[in-house]
Amino acid sequence: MSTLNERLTRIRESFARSAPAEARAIMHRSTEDLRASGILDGIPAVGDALPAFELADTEGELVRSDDLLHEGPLVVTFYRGVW
Amino acid sequence: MAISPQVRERNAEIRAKQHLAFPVLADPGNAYARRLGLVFAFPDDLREVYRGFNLVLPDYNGDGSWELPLPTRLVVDAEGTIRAIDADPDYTVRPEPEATLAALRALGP
Repeated sequence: MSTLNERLTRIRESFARSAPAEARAIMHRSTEDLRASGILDGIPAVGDALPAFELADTEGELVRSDDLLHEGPLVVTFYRGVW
Repeated sequence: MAISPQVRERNAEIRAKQHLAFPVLADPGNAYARRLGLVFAFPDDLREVYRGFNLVLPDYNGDGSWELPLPTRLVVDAEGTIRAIDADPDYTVRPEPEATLAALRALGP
C-alpha cells in the first residue's frame, strides 16, 4: 500500500504531464508567492488554544467545537473543495 | 472533522464521494479559517487558469472572493489545546495519516 505522499506525487506528476505548461507555471508561481508571503508565520502554533467554532454540518445542524471536545481529542482538517 | 468554504450541498458531495463518516462543516466566506490566519486569495492569473479547468470557485463557495484556506490539519486535545498543526501552500503536500495517528497516540490515554 503506497503512502499518501507517494500517491500525491503520482497525482502531481500526472498533472505535470497533462496540463498546459503555462497553467502549471502560473500555479507553481502562485504557490511559491504564497509561501514567500509569510502566511505560515501567522497560523496557530502548537500550544495555542483552538478558537471555538460553531458551524453548520451537511444536515444544516450547528456543530460546536466545545461539544466535540467534550467527547475527546479532535482532528480538524481544512478542505479546499470537492473539486 | 473537516471544515471548508463550500456551500452545504458541495460539502455533502465531498462526504458522499469520499465515503466520509465524519462531519464536513461549512465555513462561509472563510470566516473561521480567517481567524486562524489560513486564508489566501487567488491572484487574477490563477483565477483564469482555474476557469480554464472549468473550476469556478465562486460556484462552489457561494461567494465571489476566490479565497481558500491553506490545506491544514490540526490535532487538538480534549482541553482544546493545539498539539499538532501542519499547513502548506502546496496542496499536494499533506501529513501522512500515520503522522496524525501518532500525534493522537501522543496525547495519552
